[in-house]
Amino acid sequence: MLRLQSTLSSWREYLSPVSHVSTFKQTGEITPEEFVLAGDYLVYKFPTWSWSSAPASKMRDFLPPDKQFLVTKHVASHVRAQSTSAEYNGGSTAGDAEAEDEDGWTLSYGSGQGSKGTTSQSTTRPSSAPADDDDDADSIFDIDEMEDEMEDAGYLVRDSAAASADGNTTLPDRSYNLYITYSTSYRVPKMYLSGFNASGSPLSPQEMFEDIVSEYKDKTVTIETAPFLENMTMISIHPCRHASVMKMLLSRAEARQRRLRAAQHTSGKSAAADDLMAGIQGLGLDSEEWEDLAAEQKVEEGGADDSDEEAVRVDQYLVIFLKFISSVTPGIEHDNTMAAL
Amino acid sequence: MQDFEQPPQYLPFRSFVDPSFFQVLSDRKLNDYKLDTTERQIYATYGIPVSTSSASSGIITLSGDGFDLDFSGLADCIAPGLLLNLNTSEEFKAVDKTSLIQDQGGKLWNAIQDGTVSDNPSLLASFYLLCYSDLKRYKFYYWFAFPVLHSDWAFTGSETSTNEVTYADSNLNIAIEEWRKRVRIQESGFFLLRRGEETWNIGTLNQWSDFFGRFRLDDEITVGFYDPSSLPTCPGWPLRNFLAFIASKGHSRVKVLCLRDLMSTASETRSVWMKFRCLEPMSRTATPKVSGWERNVQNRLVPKSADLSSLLDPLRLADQAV
Repeated sequence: MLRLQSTLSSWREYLSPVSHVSTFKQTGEITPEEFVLAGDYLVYKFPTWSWSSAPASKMRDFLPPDKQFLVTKHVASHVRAQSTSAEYNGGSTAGDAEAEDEDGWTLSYGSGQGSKGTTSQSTTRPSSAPADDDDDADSIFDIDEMEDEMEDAGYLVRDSAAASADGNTTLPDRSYNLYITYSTSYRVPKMYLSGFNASGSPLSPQEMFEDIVSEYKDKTVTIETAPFLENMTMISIHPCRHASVMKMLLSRAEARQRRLRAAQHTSGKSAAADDLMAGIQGLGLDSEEWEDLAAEQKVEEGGADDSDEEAVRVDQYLVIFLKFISSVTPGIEHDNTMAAL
Repeated sequence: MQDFEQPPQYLPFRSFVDPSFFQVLSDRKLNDYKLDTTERQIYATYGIPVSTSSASSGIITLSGDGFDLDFSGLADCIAPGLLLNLNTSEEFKAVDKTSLIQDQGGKLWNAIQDGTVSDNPSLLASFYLLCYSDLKRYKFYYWFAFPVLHSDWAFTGSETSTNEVTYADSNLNIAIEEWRKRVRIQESGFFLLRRGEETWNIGTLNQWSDFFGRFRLDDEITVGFYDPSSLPTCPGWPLRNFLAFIASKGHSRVKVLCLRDLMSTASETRSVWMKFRCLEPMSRTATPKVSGWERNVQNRLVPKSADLSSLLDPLRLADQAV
């Protein structure tokens, strides 16, 4: 932890002289330099994420060559967003209206209007029905089983009852590779997803849409060629609304962090990173907490900005961003890998 | 150290194919291969899982880069493969799968015996990809084989290195990382280990006689490999051919480091030591039994398919772009 803190303070030093004025708290936007800082912090804190370089033709010169985008691979997804959204809808109350920002964008579940119709539509869609004009190719699957091979005792069969007894060998239905790049036009991180079924074959965009909560699926999810990889088409969450959402999440994280700090005040100082994690926890899917925060925000406005120790730092931006993304893609369990660390 | 013997089980590779692979394959088939069905050299990659969740365990990845892989700076291990891309579904079906995998196993067995594998250990993780692409519909039918040579070993126990950590042990990961920087990527997946006074010595497979030349055949030797498995009692698929390689050298007792730490600085090791005893020496003349066609989630031996029409079809893409 000591090492972390010293690293952080050297980052802060590095950050201050940058001429790009940091506006992340006012606007929710970040500069490329801040994106790199936040990425470094994410990779440090959560080693399932890593920086990646891009092919020469896709290199963006405002980012370091070895830090073109962030990636995490094979993130499990056991349930579809449609099946979880009912649960979240159930948990929300009328009070949720309080927690929305002026545009009604921040609440991913339970904000009611418009979501239900589309949910039922997408759940009835068959997930991967083979096309019927496929007779010749389907015959590929009529292959006589090779009896000899079936006897291979050295082949660990996953999902067998014996194997799952000692845990950990069951496989998820789907898994995702997640990519975060920097959007210059919106000055925010942008998320790309590439999904695979249990067999490791790519999912179609329509199948991937099942893992996005309906509000976002209908408004901001598009099929795109990745700007940072050759020959990769995937789905992306359009960043046009990220800044306003992030601005609100940041202020909530900050308020939560202040409250915790106040509570801990008597017991002396505690590590900043722990505070953040606690603050982030409160950000999660716990809307009651969010409502509480509205009141505290007023307190905070009075005495803000004189103590940078208490503020949410810009290098924590992506951790908060991922909380936001996990509310858009509730079935993709990148949060679990974080909790494991 | 537990004291028991049982037949080992290995976590099979699970293939993941990026959409980019199919995209490049389509391009090459249209513009280059056309109807030519020569086997093509391709490369997949595998590595140590980033998390201990079973979702990331045992994975081997093939992407568009695999046709022309740039090895520089690659953090993962490479698996060389042959791609056979056929023109019709009938041809795909007609391929004699049993003799195909026997042939691949036979090639590997020869490569072990004539020293090719010692120079290119990545062959121990080699694969074969049978494919038929229906480019009109952007549909792909494919089947991976990860051929393994059967050798007769008993698993005699495992230990994590948490008990009695010595100075040398605590620096083992660092030593491996430094070794890895010195060797070619083809050599980096499998290594030899010998305990020195202060540190571990690490060697490539072609240093076998330097490392173990003075050992008797029933002395315990120590080796290691990059393990794509994270299951506590189950090593990953590449160990199977490595054990066949060791048996071919006549050695009968081996202690294997299943390397599972991503970073040399990991504060808590996930690596596991496993011990094996060879029950029956391998015949030099006969090819051992071979298996390795990938099974589906239901444990059946069937091909996989991918429908990329909505990702690759230019017309449909234009349709979806709003």
